[in-house]
Amino acid sequence: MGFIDYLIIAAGSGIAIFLLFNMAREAFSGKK
Amino acid sequence: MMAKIVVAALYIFAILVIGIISGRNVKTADDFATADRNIPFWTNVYSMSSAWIGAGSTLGCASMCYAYGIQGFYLAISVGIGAILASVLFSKKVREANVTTIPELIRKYLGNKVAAWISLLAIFQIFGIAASQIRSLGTILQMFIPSLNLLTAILIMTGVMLVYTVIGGLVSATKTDKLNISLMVISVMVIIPAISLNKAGGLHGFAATVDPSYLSMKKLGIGAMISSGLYFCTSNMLNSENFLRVCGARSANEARSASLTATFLIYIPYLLFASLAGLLGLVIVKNLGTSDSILPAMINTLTNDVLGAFLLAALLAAVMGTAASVTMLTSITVTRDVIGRITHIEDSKLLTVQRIVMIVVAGLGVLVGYSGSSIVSIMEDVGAPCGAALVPIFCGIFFWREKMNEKGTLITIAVAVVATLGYLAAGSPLGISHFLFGIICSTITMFAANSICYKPGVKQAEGEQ
Repeated sequence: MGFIDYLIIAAGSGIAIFLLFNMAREAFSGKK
Repeated sequence: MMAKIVVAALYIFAILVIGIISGRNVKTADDFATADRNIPFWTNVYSMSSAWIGAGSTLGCASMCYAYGIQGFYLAISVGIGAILASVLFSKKVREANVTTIPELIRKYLGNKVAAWISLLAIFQIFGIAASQIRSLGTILQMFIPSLNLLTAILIMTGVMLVYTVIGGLVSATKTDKLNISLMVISVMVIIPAISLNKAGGLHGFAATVDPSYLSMKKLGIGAMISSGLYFCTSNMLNSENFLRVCGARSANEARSASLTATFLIYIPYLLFASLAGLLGLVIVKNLGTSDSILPAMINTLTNDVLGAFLLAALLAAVMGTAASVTMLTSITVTRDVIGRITHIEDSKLLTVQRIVMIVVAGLGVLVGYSGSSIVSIMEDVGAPCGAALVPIFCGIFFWREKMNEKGTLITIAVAVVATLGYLAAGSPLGISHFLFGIICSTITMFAANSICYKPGVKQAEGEQ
């Protein structure tokens, strides 16, 4: 596993974390 | 085995709870069909992504790279370009037209006769997609519980889909899509790449072990690649799965930006990750009989029961979002553009009629889906003329409206149908797909026929309802 492999995994995880964080924020802020 | 059943049951339970709770306040036909045109931006981003990504895109991208090596990425790229074009060219203008179905949009600009023909074609096409997604729901549930027969599996999953969509329509669909897209992104963009990169020894390890022919651009002829790429790009421009979500956005600008955000943030990365998984599969699962099942095969090889079940649930989620979406669009189109045109339905009854039609459409979808994958592919073939007619007509009414007229458009539709089906019946002699041939003919016809039939000063149907 080299730098590029970690970069790919980081990119995928980054998007996933952003989405989940955003969903949680929406849910807790009570926005409809 | 037990773990798989538990995970499948948990997924089904969660989808039902979210769908029923969020949909219980749906009171009007507009709530049902367009979520009262009030879908929040991010909710719509997730929902659009979940509707777009189905079994076809997930398994298809992986399968292409498993079959053709790095060249297989062309599928993800061309589908992605189609989605970008759809977002940029159509989404804002579709939302501005304030409609609910594709024929309604056409009726607004080109009158009743054109809309009637488009309804016929559109219903055939979207029903074909619905039937194939309903079949996929069953085949994926079978991966969890292999002893289940296909019909039972299809019936269980269609039943689950119907419960929450009949109650809550698009409102429930957009809420359950949050669960669907989370599962899909975590599985395909985090877990599968991490495990398979590790197993393959990273990209370097992969490049060292794989048969070098998979790293060349010679596996698939360039002509075949371009023709197939153009096909996926143009057919994806129509995006009927997303039509209701574009119509349900709060404003036209939001429709376009949500569609673009979904495309760049989720859809394209997801497709690239699915392709990467198929590529790495070349060194992880060797000599698989059919490339179509590479992703499920990798899940079986690489993971333990619990993790494998979670990844399979993501596949189920991918299909669920799309199946619910197209079944809903089919039934809403049938209700509003066929039943609603034949007899007048009062507003108070429209919601009930939509719900009943939804159950009937799903029932027919089960019948067609169960009767065989070959029938599904025949239906998709027959649905191709619709795409071949609609893509140029959409471009025409949005960017060339002045010259578009009823007669010219009717000729365009006729040419699209005859060219597409005729070319298919002749055995696709030019080496390009029948859809691509049809769309080339219909585009040329659209410009020629509308120019010839155009009479300056004759008012078109705009604003007529």
